[in-house]
Amino acid sequence: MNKYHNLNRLNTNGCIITRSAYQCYRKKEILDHIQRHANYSSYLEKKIREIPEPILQSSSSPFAKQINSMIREIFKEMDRQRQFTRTQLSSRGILFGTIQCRHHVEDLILEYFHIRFPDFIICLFNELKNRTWVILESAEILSFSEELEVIVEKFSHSRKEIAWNLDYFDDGENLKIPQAEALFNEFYTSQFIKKRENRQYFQKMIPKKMKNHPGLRGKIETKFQNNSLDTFLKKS
Amino acid sequence: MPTILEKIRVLGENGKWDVCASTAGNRSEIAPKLFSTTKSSNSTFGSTISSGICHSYTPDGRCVSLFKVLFTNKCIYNCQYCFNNVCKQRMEFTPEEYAKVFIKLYTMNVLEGLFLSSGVCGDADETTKKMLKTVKLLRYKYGFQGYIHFKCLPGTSYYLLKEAVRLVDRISINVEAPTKEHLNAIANQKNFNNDIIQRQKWIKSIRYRHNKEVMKEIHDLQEDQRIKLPPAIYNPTEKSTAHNFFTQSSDTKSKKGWIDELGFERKATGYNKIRWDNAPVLNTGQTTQFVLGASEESDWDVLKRLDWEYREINLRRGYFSAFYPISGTPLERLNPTPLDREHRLYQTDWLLRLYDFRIRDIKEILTDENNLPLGDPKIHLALQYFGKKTRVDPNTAPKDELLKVPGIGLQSANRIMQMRAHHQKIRTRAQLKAMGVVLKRAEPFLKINGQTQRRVTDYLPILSA
Repeated sequence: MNKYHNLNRLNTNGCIITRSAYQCYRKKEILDHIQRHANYSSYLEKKIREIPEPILQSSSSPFAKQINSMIREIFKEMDRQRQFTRTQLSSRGILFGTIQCRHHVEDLILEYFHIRFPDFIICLFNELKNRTWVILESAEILSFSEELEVIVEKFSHSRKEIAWNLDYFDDGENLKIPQAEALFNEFYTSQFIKKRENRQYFQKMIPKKMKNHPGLRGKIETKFQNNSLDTFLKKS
Repeated sequence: MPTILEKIRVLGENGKWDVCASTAGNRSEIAPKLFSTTKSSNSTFGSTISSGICHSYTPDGRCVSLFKVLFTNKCIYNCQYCFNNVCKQRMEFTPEEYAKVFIKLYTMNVLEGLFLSSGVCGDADETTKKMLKTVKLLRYKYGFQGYIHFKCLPGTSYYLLKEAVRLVDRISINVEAPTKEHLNAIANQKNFNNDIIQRQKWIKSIRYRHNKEVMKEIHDLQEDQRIKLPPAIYNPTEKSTAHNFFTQSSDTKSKKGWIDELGFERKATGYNKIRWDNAPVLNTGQTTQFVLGASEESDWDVLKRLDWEYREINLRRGYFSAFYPISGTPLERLNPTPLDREHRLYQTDWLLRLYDFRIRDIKEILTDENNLPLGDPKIHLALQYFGKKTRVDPNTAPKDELLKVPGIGLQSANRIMQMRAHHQKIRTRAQLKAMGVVLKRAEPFLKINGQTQRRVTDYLPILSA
């Protein structure tokens, strides 16, 4: 998937197409991925097929702009879900978590996790569509309408415990290793250098929906000991 | 006895000052299961990808992608800038604890890899052995195939460095200061030449030998499918650049570059030409870090050392960490180094590595104190290089001249050259803008369709008349 391809290419007549520096996609890429968009319709696809590639890549065409922004939305959602999906590993080698995808990018997210954890089964529950997506070790992708817990339970029966299971999971008592979220919260808090504070950049980078995650509880950056309006209201 | 959470908090506070956050490496594409044994039934996990993903951002805007927590903050050195000096809580992870905490976080999808650094507890070798034990646990017991950056301690033995190179993706040793005198001023217990520079040279030779050996082993690994190199790289019968680097040797230096006695392709500046520097499977290079402003070194001192390291040590890249006084340390009264200085040095480092500027060009623009002037170094260099009158015509100028124009980067220069290759003329500013040129910076140095931008100095004769 090459979304940042060369700006200049030859068209069918051998003339170079100089496009603006805004990010746009090849016709093939658009046709490959437009079906993933939540607002996809077959009429839209038909229209794209009829339009020549140079027009689809021109920033002066409103239709091209709309199509390119639709593809951008898909890739942005995919990247964000890859970055900010938090998962857990069960003792039987099932990695599970929840995602919030409006577009049909579940398979792309599953593929990313499959590359990182090729020997595990990965289950992701899409909260917006109430469906659970699963990728097996063989890279086969399945979709279920059941809840995440049910699916994890279902796949757990057929699997052996992972080889380093005893060492990894029993240390809850031996070494007292806390839950992953507590570990991350502590780690995240320790990494901040106050002198380098750059809130503008931070606000730009962090997605809004992540503002309830560790380090940002209640949409407030815990690092700064900020107060929300609720804090004062409760006090009074 | 401190809990794991306490250890993470304290040792994370100590470890965050290392600024490296890169997770570069393409090993997963060619050797996805390098550290798994064929007989083992263990599951493997983890991958390195060529461009890392940032899983969260701290309020300072830095991304969190590596597990940057010291192994121990017990340290025999008394570096005057170091946070370890004043940290009252001394603690240490055990290899098992460290490995498990890392795996828990990795399976939570909040990390891309591990950055393993430590204070020197007792002896450099003793601590390095414990760190290596952690790496081995991760690689062989838990089957972790992802990215590991190993920070070498000053004074580590050769055999331990050799072991580290075989196990990790990136290796580094912090120079901290550009010269022996500057290091003495801030960390007088460290021997600059022996503890640091000598170790860097060792790592260079170990990496070279390691990569050469790996090329021989690739055939065996290919058979049990733990490695999937394209035939052009491992097959000696086929003509490939990678193979030629190991067999060719020529000392003939040309304007465009040459191949040195070790087989490294060099640019005219003496820097490594290719970014993966012959590492076919493992070890994407060695890096280093400077503390800026603690020992009153000038920018020229830092750049001179960096230039030497690029040429002689095959350094992949250098990192800069602006000094910040920590209360309780001997340097607490020193002023903090402005972050602008760090930024300007990074800009200059880019110009040296990627834009092929020479160190002697940089010398021309330095101030009387041998520091970089305020503002973008590329603009100062362009003013120096082009003078007041010369303008560049993007239709005729060679690529290296285009790269010297501020606002024209590697990508946009390539696009201009590509356009010229198709006999297309650049006649308007809009064309340049469409190709990604930042006109605000580039226009004063360009001649577009025979026209140039007027400067204030052009009006002076009119005004004086």
